[in-house]
Amino acid sequence: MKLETRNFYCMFYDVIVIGAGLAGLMAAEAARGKGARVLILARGMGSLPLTSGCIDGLGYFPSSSPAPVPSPLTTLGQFGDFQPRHPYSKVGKERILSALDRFRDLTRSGAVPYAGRFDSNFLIPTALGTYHPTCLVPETMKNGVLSLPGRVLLLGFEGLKDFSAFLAAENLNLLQARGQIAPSFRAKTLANPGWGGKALNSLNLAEAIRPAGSAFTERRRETGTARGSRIPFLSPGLDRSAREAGDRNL
Amino acid sequence: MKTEVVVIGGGATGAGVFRDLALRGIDTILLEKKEFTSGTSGRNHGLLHSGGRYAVKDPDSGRECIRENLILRKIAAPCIEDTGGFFLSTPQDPPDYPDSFLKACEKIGIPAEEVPVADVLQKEPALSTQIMRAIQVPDGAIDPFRLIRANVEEGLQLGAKAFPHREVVSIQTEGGIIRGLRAKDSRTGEEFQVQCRFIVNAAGVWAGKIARMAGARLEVVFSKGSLIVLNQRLVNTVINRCRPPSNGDIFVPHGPALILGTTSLKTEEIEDPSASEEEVDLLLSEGEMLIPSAGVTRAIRAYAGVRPLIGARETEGDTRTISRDFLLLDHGAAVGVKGLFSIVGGKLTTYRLMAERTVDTICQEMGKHASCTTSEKPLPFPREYAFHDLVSRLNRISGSGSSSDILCECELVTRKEILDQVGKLSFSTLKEVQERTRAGMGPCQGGFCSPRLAALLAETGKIPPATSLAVLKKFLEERWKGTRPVLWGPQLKEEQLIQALYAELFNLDHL
Repeated sequence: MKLETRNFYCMFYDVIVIGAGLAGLMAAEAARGKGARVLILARGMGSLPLTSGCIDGLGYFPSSSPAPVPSPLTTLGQFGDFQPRHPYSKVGKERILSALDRFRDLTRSGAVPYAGRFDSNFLIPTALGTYHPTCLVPETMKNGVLSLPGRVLLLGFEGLKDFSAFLAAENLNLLQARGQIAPSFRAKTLANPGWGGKALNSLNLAEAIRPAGSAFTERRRETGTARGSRIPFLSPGLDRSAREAGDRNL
Repeated sequence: MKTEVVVIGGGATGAGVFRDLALRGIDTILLEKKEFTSGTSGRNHGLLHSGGRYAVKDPDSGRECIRENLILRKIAAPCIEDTGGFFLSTPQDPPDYPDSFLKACEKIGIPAEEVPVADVLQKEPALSTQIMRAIQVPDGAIDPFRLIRANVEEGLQLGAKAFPHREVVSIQTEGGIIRGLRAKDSRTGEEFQVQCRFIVNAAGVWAGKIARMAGARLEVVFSKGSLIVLNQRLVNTVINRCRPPSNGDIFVPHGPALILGTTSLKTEEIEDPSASEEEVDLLLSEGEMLIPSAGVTRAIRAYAGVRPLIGARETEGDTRTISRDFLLLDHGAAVGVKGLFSIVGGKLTTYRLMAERTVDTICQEMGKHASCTTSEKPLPFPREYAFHDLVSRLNRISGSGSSSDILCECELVTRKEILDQVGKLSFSTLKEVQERTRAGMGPCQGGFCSPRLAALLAETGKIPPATSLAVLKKFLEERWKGTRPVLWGPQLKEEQLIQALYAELFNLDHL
């Protein structure tokens, strides 16, 4: 059968996934892993590029609780009692764990390794200088978690309008003063070097400061699927050693 | 502090009285409990009335409106858009109303002219083809924020003093004569004393409360009016329904948006009025009679203001039958509190006249001969000011600098413009930035730019240290009040994104 030609409407697949959110993509990948021919149909990019890039497990329970859940895994049983119809309760602990393992394997093989487990929450800083509890973070971010004490320099870039190092440091220091996070912060804004006339957003910035030949960015280039995010978040490239280097140099 | 006259209330009336007093060389201080224009003056249509709306039932108000309409066009031209207006009669409206309307307009001097419906439809193709008759009147759009600021600024230039965030807590009299008052800085809680001979109570919906502080009585009826902002300028002319005033019968084009209102409900909630979902439904279903696409156009916000009306409670629910005329009450003559004058009611369009009458009375009381000049003297406006027009803004912005300079993409407001506006102020607020530049007033309602604006205010020291998150949260709460009643279709989608950003990613609900 030679039906699968370009501009021809009739195609054959074993599985068609509708929607290119994280659930759709994972389902498609699982089916592909079992040897199925898979088609993903989606209207546009979906909202996945607008997320933080971290995988949240269970941040707060009950949801009005002021303190984040230390371990989503430990809280899961209690959560299920209150939320029997939640997807977590329906699929159960074992499947959640194996799904997260699968996600980690997949991202590792895609050269974007993730750190973290379902049994503990990281507190990561946000561009606003608040924190956000999450389970899995890209490995480049794992040294930036707010449980590690120390003095941190936040670098801002003049013209990067969705991140003010000043604002973030001010707010993070408020949280530190209240004892909610360990490190203290100060801010520095680098002058705008021009960036070759490109608009300064987090994607262009990441491209500009990436180490040459980084597997991650090369892969993004090849697949051509990476898109700039309108949602600001702290540049994942700045891990602790980079901060310390920055501290020495500034 | 010591002065001749304290003006209470930083809305249109108070700001107008303040300017008039200053122009006549009378020492004065203006006190506003929140921010200027934060009450009813900033929560209306922004309509420069021709007076047509009141011509039939309330000819005195109508007459004042047309007289002041013409004066404001002279003295406040930069904050007025001369859109013109139509009164349109639909098959649902009383068929004899257009004739009584024309007659009433003629009697009180409103230039109203019947025009062919076909011509109107050609000029405004979004209008309903069901329209039976059309009458043209000199309505316009007026920006109350700029208008009031210009009044305050002229007073300041003349050496008078004006303070926002100062709430009056008590008024002192001695032998039935005003001696002074105590006010509180609502941000620091610090109290201070002002000695004065006269108090002008221009507190709007709070005027009754102020009068009571001095031992005087003033009955104010509260009438809530709700409005919706549509994200498209469907018409370029003010559109009124030609019938006795009712719900949802006025559209006013404002910059890139279109404002539909109002309702009229008796209320007791004056501190924090908001539009209800029922009112939104009512406004849209009435609005569709004039502009059929109004109901499917993206609504970006709903808001409410409370009219302080004077008069007998003629009806229980609807307060529309109470006159929209104003009242100047000399409490010295009324109950024996000498030196206290209350000026209440009226319209944004008639604020200047209200101020003139008030200051005339005070001059008489003082034995001072100084005539009013506000009907001739243009208000001071920044040189470059023009009504917000996205096309010319885009032309001006494109080619100059990068997109990084645009902090509000919806309304095309640059960082430089904001700094020009707030740079000289010793402190500022997000609301002030919005009102001065329109940043945050577009489709996302500040969802994306408010953190940038908060950062800019924090970095430039315009808000106190370590308050940026609180400032932002307050803004978002206020924003939510406006977006909540209009959440459907594209606005709902956008709201879910904003919700994900602030509640989930930034985790603001827990911090």
